[in-house]
Amino acid sequence: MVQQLSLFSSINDEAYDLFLATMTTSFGTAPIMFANLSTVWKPDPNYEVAATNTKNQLIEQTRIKVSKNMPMEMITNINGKIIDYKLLPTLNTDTLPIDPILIDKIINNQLTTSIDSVSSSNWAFAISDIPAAGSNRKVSMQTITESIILETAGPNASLNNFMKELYYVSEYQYLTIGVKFHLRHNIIVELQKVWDVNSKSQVTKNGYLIKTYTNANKSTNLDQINHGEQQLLNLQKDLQGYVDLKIPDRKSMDSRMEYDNNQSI
Amino acid sequence: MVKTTIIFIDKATPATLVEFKDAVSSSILSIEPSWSIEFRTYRSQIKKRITTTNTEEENRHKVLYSISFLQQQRSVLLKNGIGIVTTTKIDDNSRKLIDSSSSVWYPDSMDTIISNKLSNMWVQRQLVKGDAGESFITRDGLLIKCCNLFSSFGFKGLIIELREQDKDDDENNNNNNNNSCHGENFNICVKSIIDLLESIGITNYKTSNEVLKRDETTTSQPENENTHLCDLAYQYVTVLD
Repeated sequence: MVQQLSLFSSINDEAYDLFLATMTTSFGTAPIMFANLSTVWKPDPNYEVAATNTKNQLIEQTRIKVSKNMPMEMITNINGKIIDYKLLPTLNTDTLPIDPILIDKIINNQLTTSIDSVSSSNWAFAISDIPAAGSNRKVSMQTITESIILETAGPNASLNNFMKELYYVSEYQYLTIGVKFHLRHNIIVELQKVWDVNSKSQVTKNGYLIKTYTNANKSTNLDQINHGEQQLLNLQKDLQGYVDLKIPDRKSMDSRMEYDNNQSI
Repeated sequence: MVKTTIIFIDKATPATLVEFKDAVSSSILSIEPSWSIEFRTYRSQIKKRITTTNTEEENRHKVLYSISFLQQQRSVLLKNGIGIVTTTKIDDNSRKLIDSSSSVWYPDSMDTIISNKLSNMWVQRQLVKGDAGESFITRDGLLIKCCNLFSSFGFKGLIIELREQDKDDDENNNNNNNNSCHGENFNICVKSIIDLLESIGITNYKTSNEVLKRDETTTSQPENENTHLCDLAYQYVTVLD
């Protein structure tokens, strides 16, 4: 279980080169490319779930996010280009940089050719709480509980079929490709391009989402959380006037299902 | 693939373990590390909005099994013949999840997630634990793991896991031994253990050497240690449920 402390901002497409140059010279770290696929699952609407558990505690229904790394080899319009930070500005259209058929195959475990199987069968299975409330908060603080899936086995074993056994159905998927900087004190700064897989559109069109965050192990002490918060605020100050890092609306990071008023307890 | 067989003696007493070890002691080649296991069953609490007539079928599908192999830091969830292997340990492969920002690090067990976050959907029905079990390799190259199991009601029974050794180990340890428990010989070795059990008066036991059905439509599922762990978990479920 982690507490993810974060601040967000955005820049437009034209500001990319300058932002990278600023980050590289100010912090002395190189940009690293990354890509991941997030699949979001919701409770199967064909089933009725009680709002409380057997101890009579209220358990709200939440979505589950299951994500995995996307090997850079899968990005379709590389055309022999070297994969580095210069690739990202070329991905400025709605066109999904990864074949949606391939994404479908990954979820349904139908990878066949050797190039497909560059993808491992590991997935991160995570449930997030709504970020902590409070008007005097300086950074967003969200609890994320996660486990690692190494393999699915059995007839027709796939992520999709296992989620079905947990009474969860697919809701939407998104693809994130970005560059990130690892700063000191475990602060990570990411520039992201995000695509909605179903509608085949780019959510971050004309710009980039900036996410700065640090993950603190919740089972350790509060010092790590306080230290992380301070480091994020220092970064906010350093970039002030150039990029304004802000706390996002906590409702936008709420993964609970909408409360069902018709449900009788 | 590595062959395994599970034997569960629910009519045993805690002392049966000692009797079994005495009986097998003369053929022990080496003592191996101790091991622990946890077996949980969860029952779903949810109802189908439109009820179907086939209630028996539905009930059968309501149980989710979780088998934790504590030394490997891995656990297997099994439901309806589909298994997933999960871990709380970051290794080279799962590291890619962190490098790609897919994971937030510090993973929990799936049991933690089910009991904390999905407890409105799943109720834990059973917890069977085997702590500090023993394991040893026989002169025939058979790995024997044995442990007394306990549930919240007390002693549950004696579990014995038999496993053939990797070929490499076999060559190193038993250069001149033709009685290896490999391949075809594995069943003979299992039979000899069962004979041994019968010699100490145990005639009532359950065994399983079944494996999860393989997917025939794709070739994408190469067998590896994780698919074997699913098979092993399936064998535990078969004898313990």
